[in-house]
Amino acid sequence: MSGYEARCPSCGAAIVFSLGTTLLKVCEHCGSAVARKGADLEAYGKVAGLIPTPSVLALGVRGGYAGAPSFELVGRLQLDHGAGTWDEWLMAFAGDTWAWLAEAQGKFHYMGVAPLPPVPEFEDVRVGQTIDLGPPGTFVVTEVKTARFVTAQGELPFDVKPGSALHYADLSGPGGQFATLDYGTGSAAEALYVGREVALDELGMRGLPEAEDRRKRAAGESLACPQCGGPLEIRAPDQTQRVACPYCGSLLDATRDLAVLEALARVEVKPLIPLGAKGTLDGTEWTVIGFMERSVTVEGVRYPWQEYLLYEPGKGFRWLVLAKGHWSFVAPAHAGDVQTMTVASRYRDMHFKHFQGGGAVVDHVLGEFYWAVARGDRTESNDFVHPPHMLSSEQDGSEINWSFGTYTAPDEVWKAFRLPGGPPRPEGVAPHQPSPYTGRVRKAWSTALLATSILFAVYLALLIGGARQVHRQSVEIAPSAVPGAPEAAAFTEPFVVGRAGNLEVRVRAPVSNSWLYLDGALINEDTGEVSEFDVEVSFYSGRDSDGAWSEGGTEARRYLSAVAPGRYVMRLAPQWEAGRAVSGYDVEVRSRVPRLYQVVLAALALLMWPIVLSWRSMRFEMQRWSESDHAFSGSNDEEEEE
Amino acid sequence: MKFGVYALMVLGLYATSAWRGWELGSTRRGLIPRDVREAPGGYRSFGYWRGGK
Repeated sequence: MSGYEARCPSCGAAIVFSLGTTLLKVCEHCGSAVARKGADLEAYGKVAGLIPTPSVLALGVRGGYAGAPSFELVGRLQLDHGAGTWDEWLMAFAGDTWAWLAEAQGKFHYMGVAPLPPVPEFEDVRVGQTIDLGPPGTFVVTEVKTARFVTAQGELPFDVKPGSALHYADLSGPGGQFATLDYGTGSAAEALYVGREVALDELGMRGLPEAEDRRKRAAGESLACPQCGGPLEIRAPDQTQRVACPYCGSLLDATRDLAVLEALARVEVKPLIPLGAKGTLDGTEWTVIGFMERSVTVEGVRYPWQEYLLYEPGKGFRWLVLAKGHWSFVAPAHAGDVQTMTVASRYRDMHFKHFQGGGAVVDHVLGEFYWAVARGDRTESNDFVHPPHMLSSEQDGSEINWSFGTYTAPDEVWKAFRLPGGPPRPEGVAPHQPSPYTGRVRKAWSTALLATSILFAVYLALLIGGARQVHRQSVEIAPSAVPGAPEAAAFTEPFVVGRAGNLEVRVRAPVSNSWLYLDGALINEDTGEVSEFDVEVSFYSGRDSDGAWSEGGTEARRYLSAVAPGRYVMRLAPQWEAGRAVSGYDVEVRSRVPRLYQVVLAALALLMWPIVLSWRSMRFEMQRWSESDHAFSGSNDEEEEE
Repeated sequence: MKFGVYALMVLGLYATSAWRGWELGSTRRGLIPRDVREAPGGYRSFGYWRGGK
């Protein structure tokens, strides 16, 4: 690092700008901010003392990151956007290069300098807007705010007077990238920083407490509520900004020695999972550190739900959300990884459909929170679903946050936290509740269609090679015969049925506007078994005001069930309409005739279950979407799920 | 799995039905002794005694 040594214009002590590019230095002796203006120095007056933050970093700490040259922390900037103070550390690399290490809410973001592309002015930047940052990609604006330059230590790469209001926009990019557009005190962007979240251990810093020690240090502080005196256990002291006393409900500012922000006399809600309870979800043991009840009001009806803030020092924060007895395990999502469309979103290669939007209000809070929560906070929320997941955005004027939830069975939550009794009974269908029919409908249809195909293949095979004619005969009816008289009856020639099966008796008769009825009997000559049947041939035709008409035909069939092999004759006793004698008829007997109705019945039996399942699945989806902003579209998510 | 078993049963039932020649409804069956059958005019159908159509 190249150095530039000078004398403090305020106290005359030696000051060293370790980087050739740093423009502001806080004198270690008198605390004055000294700006470098060409060859001259200008004192901006004394800076305020550092705001105590839980940071374990300090100026002079050295480290190495991701193969880059080793670095040293040479500057510390403290900013405040009204909801808390955070630190930005200046990392000076060999070769006069530098980067920011932003530290807020226990998280670290490494942010390197990137070429500044044309971007909108500060007044034109909106939360949710996408901005093409050139080589880093297209980013989504997640926060647009103005922070106050509170104080500083060491040196900084810009020349801004302490106390100035600095404009910035934070952006989220693909693959977990972060970016900050630094507008300084004006409207035009002055710098672009791009980076990503890093773990402190990745930075290879020397001389810091070990990770486990840091966790133990942050494992819990015992304090007392200044309002009611109740003991408060702060479980995430390095990240908590607000504490709502579980005894009196008063809202306290954890960044200002638990100053009372809102005083209450009693707690208005009682969480089902007590604060401090520990439970293992998704393979991690989480501690419940906060609880809030929120609601949306639609047409005068309030729809509340409850959110439990979970914390694990190594993994950060998660949420357990309870709505109408349905639970969700929710993790933060990078806005840059979410592709938003009008009524849909895409995240992690999943397509989410918009479900519901509305204004969500914080009604009650208990415990501790990593942001400056307050009763009455209002955000515009939008939920997108892809069962069993839900993607949610919450946006206020200057910030947007995305979260990714997974439906969690109530019993799983109860078991995880070892809670007594049973969980509240779920009501209705949750927006992202997995359908019990997922996978089953498609599988049932596949099985049914396969079986139906086999069914028709068998029928076709039987149709081609199955049926066999066993007898054919023409029978004359004597002109003198009397209908129904025994003398008119005729016996066929004997015929042999070779294999067991059904028997088709087909009769053709030259009837016209008359009928022929045959009272038949199939007689097994070997066993004497008689199978009775009858068959009627009738054909009528004519012409009326609608034109020609006809009814019936000159052929009729009758099927006999399960006829055993053997030698048979048939006795056929004819009857006919008086005065309309029939000269005779042809009779044909076929054995083992495939029957279409049997195939149809079997196919119906096969298709019945998938049809029922599809109906139930559709009912389930209708119930799900009945609570949404959109009418049921008839689409079935499970098909996409497969 | 259960539905697969059910589908196999339906296929089996159809195959059996097609093989055995089962038809819906029952066929009226009876036994006529040979001597009765061979007697001239000895056999009359049930329908005959019921009066036919």
